[in-house]
Amino acid sequence: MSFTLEELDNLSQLARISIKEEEKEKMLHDMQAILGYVSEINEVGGTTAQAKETHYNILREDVITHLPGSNTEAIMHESPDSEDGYVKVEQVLK
Amino acid sequence: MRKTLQQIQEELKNGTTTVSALVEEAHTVISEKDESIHAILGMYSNDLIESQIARAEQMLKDGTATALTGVPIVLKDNIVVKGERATAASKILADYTAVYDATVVKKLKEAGAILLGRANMDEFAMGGSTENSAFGVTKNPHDITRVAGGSSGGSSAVVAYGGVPVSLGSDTGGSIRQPASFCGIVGLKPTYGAVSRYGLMAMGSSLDQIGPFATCVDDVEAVFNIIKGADDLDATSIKDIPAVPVNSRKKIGVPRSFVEREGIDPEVLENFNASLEKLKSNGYEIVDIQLEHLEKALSVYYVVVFAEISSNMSRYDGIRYGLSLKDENASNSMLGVYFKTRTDGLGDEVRRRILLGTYVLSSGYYDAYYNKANIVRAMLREEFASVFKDVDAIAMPTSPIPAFKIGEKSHDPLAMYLADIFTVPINIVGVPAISLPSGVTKNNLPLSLQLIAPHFGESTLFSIGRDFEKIS
Repeated sequence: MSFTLEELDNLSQLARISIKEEEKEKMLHDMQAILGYVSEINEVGGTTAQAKETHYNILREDVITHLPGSNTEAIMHESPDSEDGYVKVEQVLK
Repeated sequence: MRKTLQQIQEELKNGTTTVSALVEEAHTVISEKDESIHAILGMYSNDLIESQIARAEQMLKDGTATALTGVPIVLKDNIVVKGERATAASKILADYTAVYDATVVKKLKEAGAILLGRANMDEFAMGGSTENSAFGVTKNPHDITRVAGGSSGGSSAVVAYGGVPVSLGSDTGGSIRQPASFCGIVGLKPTYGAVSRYGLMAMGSSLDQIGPFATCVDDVEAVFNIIKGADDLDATSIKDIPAVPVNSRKKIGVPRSFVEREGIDPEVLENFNASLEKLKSNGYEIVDIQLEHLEKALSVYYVVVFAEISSNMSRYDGIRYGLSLKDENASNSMLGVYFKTRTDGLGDEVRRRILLGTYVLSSGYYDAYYNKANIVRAMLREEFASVFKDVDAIAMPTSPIPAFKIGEKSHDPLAMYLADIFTVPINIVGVPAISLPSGVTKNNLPLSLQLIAPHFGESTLFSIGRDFEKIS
């Protein structure tokens, strides 16, 4: 299995993380080593049925836990840019 | 501060000390020692500290004091306290103020503990040495050229150098037990679901648990008893905890072929065998056990943790909170904010793990990595359950090596991961484990014994741990 520079560039787009040209070689090398190591799990047989039986959903009642607006001010205070109770972002549609 | 929690409560009750004196003493020791160790990222506001002192004094007066009333405590900086800074040792949250209390914080406040300050850690708890902190490494109080361990290195070092009697950390793959081991103190990773994760910044959500550090088993138990319990705000916290009796037959299993591996430090192995001999001479039966897929646990762990990290870290986007950077050169200014913020705000290890997680979850590789990891994880769970039908606890060293030199492994992430070999299987299975001091190397570096119990078998760990304290 070989993890390629092209795949690294692709992942970087998907993950919204840029990798500088000078970092690429080391990043590629480290990720190849790590992925090469963890691939050993494919030596084990087994089916997905075995993995699923231990999992189940826990859902709480759909009830109001906070009064509307009770945390708005504190939360909005942490947003990098806001106006009149709205988070401001860069223009999305031109 | 070298007093046990029990001694502190006695002194508070008989008037030998006061809450304010305890807080002042903690401040003095930290300001003296932390310059060279760097366990602490910052102190909580005076308002919070003063209000907790007042609450503790009232509780003492009312006779409602708990084991932690008036006790200064430090929290790993990924646990949020309302109105206080919480950075996860990341540039991306360098100026973030938390808007609510974690459930453990609520419980500590109600118990009258004095929340004192924030402990250094690997950025977002990703690492095993605190070298990944954006604010500088925590040094080992036993040898400042070495790491204190990680990711909860600050929480461990501050207790080890006597700044506070107890602290909280979080353990996703060993992040409480390994620094406890490196610093020569006791650290507990509770059963998954025993302690609420509400207000703990998520890394690997199916693996993370909050747990205590202290200098003795009694104190770790006292803190655990205060922070544990089901919580409506954490759907994975367990409501109906089965009573697990502490068995008197005391049989400990050792996965010997797994422990005696290439790469284990000879002094670690020698000390581990000596610990087993001590337990044997104290009436414990030691037997060999086999866990078929234990060798694969490290790979299972990293695939799962990468996947969960890439999902959990997507919230740091420069929009809703934390650092936000614009990229004037970007063709799409919205995407520019995402890229610039995440690229400049997150450290190398965090970015590497996000990329690896994105890879193992991508459609072409999902079955080969994430799906397969979950299958082997289920097998491991069954293998542990089967072994626990015969033994009360499993013993392993906590770490294959004592505290390593600062910089020794930071250039090689895989080498760093391999040092987690004895701690990660426990998080994969979700069982509790404790790291107990077991002596020192020739160079006076702390060594430790790790004990593992079945789900919700913390009492077994405390019971054996107390026996071990007496004989080690």
